[in-house]
Amino acid sequence: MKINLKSPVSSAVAIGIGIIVLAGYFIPSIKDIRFILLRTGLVLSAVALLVGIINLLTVHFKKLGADSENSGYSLILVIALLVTLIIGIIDMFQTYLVGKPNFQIISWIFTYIQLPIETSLLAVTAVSLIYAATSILRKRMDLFSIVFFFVVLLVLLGSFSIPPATLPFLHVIRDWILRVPALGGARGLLLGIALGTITTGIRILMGTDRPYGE
Amino acid sequence: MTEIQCPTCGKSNTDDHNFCDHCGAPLFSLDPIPPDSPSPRDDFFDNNQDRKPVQTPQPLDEASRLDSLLSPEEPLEEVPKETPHPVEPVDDFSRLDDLIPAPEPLDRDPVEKRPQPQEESDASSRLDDFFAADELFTGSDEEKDQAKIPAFDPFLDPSARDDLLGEEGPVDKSGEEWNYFTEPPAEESLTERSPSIEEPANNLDFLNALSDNSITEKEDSAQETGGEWDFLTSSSAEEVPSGQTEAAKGPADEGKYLSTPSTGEEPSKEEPPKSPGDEWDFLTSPSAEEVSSKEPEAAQGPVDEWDFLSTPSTGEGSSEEEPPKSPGDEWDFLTSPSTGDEPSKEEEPAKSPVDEWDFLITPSAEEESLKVEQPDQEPAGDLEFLASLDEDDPNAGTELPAAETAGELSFLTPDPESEPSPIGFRPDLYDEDEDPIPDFGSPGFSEDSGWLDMLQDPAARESAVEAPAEPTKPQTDWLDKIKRLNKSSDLVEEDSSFPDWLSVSEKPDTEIPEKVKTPEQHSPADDSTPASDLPAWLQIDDDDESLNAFLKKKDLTNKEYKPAIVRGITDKLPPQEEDDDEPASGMSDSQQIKFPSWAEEKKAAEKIPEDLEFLAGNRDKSTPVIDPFQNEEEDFIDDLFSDEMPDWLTSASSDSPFEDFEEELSQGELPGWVEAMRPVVESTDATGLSEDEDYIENYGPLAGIPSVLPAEAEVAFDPERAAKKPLDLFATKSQHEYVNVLKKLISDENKTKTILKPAPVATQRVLRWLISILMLVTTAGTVVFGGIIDTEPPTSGQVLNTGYGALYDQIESFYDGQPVLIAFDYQPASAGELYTAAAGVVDHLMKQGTYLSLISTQPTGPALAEHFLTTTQEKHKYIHTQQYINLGYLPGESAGLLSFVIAPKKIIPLAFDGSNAWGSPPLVDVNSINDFAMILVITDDPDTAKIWIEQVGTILEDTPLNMVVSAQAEPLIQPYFRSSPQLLKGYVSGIIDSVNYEQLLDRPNLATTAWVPFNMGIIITVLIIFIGGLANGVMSLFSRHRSRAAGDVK
Amino acid sequence: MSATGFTGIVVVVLFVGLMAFFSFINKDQKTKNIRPIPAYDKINQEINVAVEDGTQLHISLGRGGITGPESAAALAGLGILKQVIEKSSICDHPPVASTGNPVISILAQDTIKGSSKAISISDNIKNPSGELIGITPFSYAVGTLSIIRNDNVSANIHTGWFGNEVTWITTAGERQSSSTIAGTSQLPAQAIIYASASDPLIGEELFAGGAYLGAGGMHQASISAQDVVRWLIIFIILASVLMNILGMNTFIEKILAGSM
Repeated sequence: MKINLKSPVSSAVAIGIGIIVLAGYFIPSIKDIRFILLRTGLVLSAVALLVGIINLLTVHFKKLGADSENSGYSLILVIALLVTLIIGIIDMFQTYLVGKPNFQIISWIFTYIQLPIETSLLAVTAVSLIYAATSILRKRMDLFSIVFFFVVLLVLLGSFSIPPATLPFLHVIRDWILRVPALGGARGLLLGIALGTITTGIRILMGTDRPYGE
Repeated sequence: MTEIQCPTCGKSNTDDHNFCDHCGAPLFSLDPIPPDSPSPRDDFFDNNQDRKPVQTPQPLDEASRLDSLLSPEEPLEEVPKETPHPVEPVDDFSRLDDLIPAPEPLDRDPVEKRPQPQEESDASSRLDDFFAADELFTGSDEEKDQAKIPAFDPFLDPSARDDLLGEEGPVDKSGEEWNYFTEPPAEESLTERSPSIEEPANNLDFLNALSDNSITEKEDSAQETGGEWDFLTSSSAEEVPSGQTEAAKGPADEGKYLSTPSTGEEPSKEEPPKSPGDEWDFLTSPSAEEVSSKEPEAAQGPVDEWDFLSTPSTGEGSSEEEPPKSPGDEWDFLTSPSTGDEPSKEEEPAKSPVDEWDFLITPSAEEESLKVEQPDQEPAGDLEFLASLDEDDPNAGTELPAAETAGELSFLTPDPESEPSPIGFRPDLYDEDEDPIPDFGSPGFSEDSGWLDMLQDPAARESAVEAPAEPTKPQTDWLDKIKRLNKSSDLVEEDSSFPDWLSVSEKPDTEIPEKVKTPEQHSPADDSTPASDLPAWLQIDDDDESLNAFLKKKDLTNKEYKPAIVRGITDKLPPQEEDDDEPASGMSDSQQIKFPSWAEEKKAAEKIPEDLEFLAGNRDKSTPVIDPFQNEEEDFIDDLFSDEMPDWLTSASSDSPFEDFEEELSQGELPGWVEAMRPVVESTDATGLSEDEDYIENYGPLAGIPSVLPAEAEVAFDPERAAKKPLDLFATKSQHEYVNVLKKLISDENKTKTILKPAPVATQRVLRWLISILMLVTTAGTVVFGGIIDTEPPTSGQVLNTGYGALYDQIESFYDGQPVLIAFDYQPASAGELYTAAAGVVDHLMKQGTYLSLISTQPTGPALAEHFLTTTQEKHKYIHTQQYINLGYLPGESAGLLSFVIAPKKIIPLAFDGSNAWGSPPLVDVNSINDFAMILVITDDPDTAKIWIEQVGTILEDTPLNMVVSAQAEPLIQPYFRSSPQLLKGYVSGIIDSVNYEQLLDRPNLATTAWVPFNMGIIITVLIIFIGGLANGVMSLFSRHRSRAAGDVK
Repeated sequence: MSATGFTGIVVVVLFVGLMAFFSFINKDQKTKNIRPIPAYDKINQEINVAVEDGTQLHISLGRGGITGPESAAALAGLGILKQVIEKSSICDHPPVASTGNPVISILAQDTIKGSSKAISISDNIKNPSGELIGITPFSYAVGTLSIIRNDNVSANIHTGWFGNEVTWITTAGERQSSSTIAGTSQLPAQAIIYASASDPLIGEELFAGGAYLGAGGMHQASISAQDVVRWLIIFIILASVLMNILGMNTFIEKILAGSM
């Protein structure tokens, strides 16, 4: 029997599960059902991670053609993924079955390849942030941009703490900025985000917004 | 002699005249042929021998009058000349029976099987047949007028006609009316008398010749020794005058059938033996002898049958004493003027036996003088072609050599190069001004009066065309125009319906191939007879402005009314010689194009039957002399009797005019008949639509159709001009704004706008490299060459109410073996900062001897945890599953965390290496989340921190929740620390708090080591931001000021 | 039921009621009674430019999942993706989407297929869209750079959950001189977006994308509901401040403490 999983079936499933989980926060009697659904969701998210990795692999496999651009990068990615996967399987085999230290090889890959790359990228991000801060007045010359600019300078200067050159009042200003305007603005933003989050969730529960397809 | 008042001009004429001496109109009205009556052509070829004699002006019933012209089945009896021919009934059989091999009647004399000689036909009878198709010539109004006019039926039996006229005209009673079809008239007479085709029929001057020529002579000349269809055969070479320039001349035989058989019958005995080509002598112009004999013909006696066709003259008085008309004498009008002329033949010894076709002979000078003055015409007028037979007549349009007797009737022979004329048509009798001869189409047996073409003398036509009065007129002027009309897909007059018979071959006249000429046909000696050779009535008058205008509208060369493509086509058309009707550059479209005069004045013809107008010689000087047969006449006869289709019948046009069009856009060539169907509309204003008038398409296949959407813009759209045009509409302000915007858009359409190139990337790259180099050099140098700066530890006041202080206090209270859960929820990228920030705290925990349980909601968390411990806490030498346990990755983020909080053992039963985590010392005493002494979350993401706080913090009872966060997350988690209830018990944010914590701990770690480079980096960053920002700010201000000054405000 | 639970139920019911109410009264309203947001106007403009120039748009959904607070931003990004695909259906090249989360990747592909099927865009072989670029933030950001640096991409729309890696994405767009419209729910990333993007979406403007791009009446109703609740929160905050000034804060704290 062919089951059409498209709407309205998918909509009904999504809405029903959402209402149960939401209600489980407020109604203790259905707490167990919520727990079951949450655990099921956990499994699905883990499987989704696997699906995403497979999708990534297939996409880059398709890009390995001569007509595709950046096919070399795709080749490197595929090789790296397969090597890492194979090494991880071997390492897991050795760890679980042989009793060797935990994932030594994988740790080595992570320690000496991924970690340096990621940290370097963040370090370059700092340069980009500095450049962005310097060019903000060129992009838009308004009051908020000027305030932004000077707040950045004050916070940085307030973080500077070399005893001979420490300026205490800068520490006070920095603390005040962080505790009052920054904190207040952040809370306001968070409140708005929370409201948007609520309406987005309600739209999904009501079925008016279906991000899961047609 | 009684006088007859001309119904047209009202002047008196002698009764011996059939046409008015002044205006040329017939003096006797023609009764219209009933509509149900067969066409003359049908009768022409009908073998009905039972023809009733035409005794009354009433039109012949049943058989058309042409039947009387056609030879009947029974042989045409030779009617003695002087014996009055009884009015015999019209033969039911077509006279063409003599032409067409028909079963020989038993009673027929073998000799009689021969093509019936032309009988002396009564002029009236001949005319009756000639004008059988009254619809061609008469109108309703004319019919009324005809009643007032003494009835004149040219198709009357001569005797009847004579009675009518008071003349004793020969009555052709026998069935030999059609003998002229069989027996060619006297070659000599007709040939010499063969009129030129170009010579316009001017007031029927040719009729003068009728009285000059004896029927007998014509009959003799018309007699054939050949078969019945000798008329169809081409004349012999002898008949063909070498000097003939008549383009319309074809085989002499083709025209010879038109020669009056009657005239050939009787005098056949007396006539000298004829040559084989003498059959068509009747069609040829009268011989010169005959022409010259026209003068004495002025004193002719009784009017012959066709005396009415000739201008009255004293000579015609004798025409009353017409010899008895034979059946074939009905066509005597086509040959000699009348039987009455026969006696005059005695006075005209020089006359050729083919007197029947004397009418075709150019009238004598006297007769010519009596002709109605033709505008721009020679006095010879229509009968110049007949006069051409007179060698002394310099005005003869024909170039027929007098000696060439075969060419006498060659004018009657169709020219293979010319389109056939209507059957039975007498161009010499035709008044082109009054009634332009249409293209009757097939020279065969169509219902149109194309049979008249058969009667046309090519020589006469040519001579008419060569009228000196119109030396400059092109031969095929109007024809060319009509051809252009057919080709043109432009303006089509609304009123005119271009009948098919007006459509001509697409070929220019000059391109009519000569191939249609059959060898045996009588080809004209000169096919390039200029238009002036054509009879005047076939020529277009320059004064016909209306026709010119009409034709101009149709003219492809008129650039005003045609698209470029058509122009290109028409430009390549052979130029019209002496085309007076040139493209009207000054022609206004608003001029209403009128029909040609011959079509318009059809109804305007007062009192004169339309079919007789040409006989009356009525021709408005303003009307053009239309010669529809100028181009086709030459080839008509040849085409008629040729196996090939005439050119004008074929839609294919020659390649020459269109050879050059291959390069241009191919435009559909509509055939002539399609063009004829194009509705003629009022000329439209090419400049645009008129609101008051329906738009009439000018281009394309929809040309001429009103009320259609314009296919293309007739004028180029000028945006500036359109923009400048003031709007008179009532529009609101917003609409005006929209209009202005639209104007601006349109005006800016052609303006090139300089595209401002974006800032080059190189500048950004240089700056980035500069910043990178500065930062790298500063921090690296500080790290390498800098040391540790001893800083004073923070005071208690400084520590109070700080997050790191609270955390310090909590950890300080721990003792050995307490389980602590540490969550490594940060990205590898943040490892540098968080390693520095968390190193002191974890070191403090490990210093206290607590058991650590490591978990992560990030996939890379377990690996980070391991790395952290091995790099920062190596000195503590913690062993997995002994002092710490790594639980691995917790999927599901907040949901997974919530689940873990609720049931940690169910969610994560094993360690990340598969060992029993919950049986290991770190977790042996932990059954729930609250069994942990503390939960420490190390994260760089404030959202992650919120998740832990919101999902776990609310469930925790006594277990404190602490965090080590990045400096960027401090503002977001601080409220949780400072709020009440305090969900966050303590936190360390960034390197600053970590340094303080290490100072409290008095165990310098990574933070203390990174403090100086960190500060140096801050200094450099501040300087770069400050200097760069200010510079960019100032530059931005200047650029804005510059742009504002230039008017380009963003 | 705790106070938090009760508050939660009240909030949910209030939102549902307000959304239904505003969707009902704004049913026939053709004009949008909402303040203009330049970023969404720029999106519409960039869609038109892409249609005219034959270029394509790049839509990045970030690395947020559906199980945490970042799920709202990810779902908002999916909604914007759907609207952009529908509006740019006549482009020569369909929009390309990139994600950093596997679950969002699956949802993005499903959304693209559904929208493309509705507007008969069948060929997406050349431009596989909705693919998972990278799991980690910076791997995702670096993988997105290859798409941004494509000359055929005229504009970049980053709506979802981003971290600090958004710096890479926005600066790459600036280098290509292409428009960058970015919005995220993470505050630090919002600061970066404000400094680096041409048209930033701050705070809850990210969740108003559906209303500005014509996703439906319910989106506009949700915006109205947000405004109502926002004013309600403002009132509550001011009232709390006033009560605190008046010394009534302890009373409220006791109530809240007792119920929790």
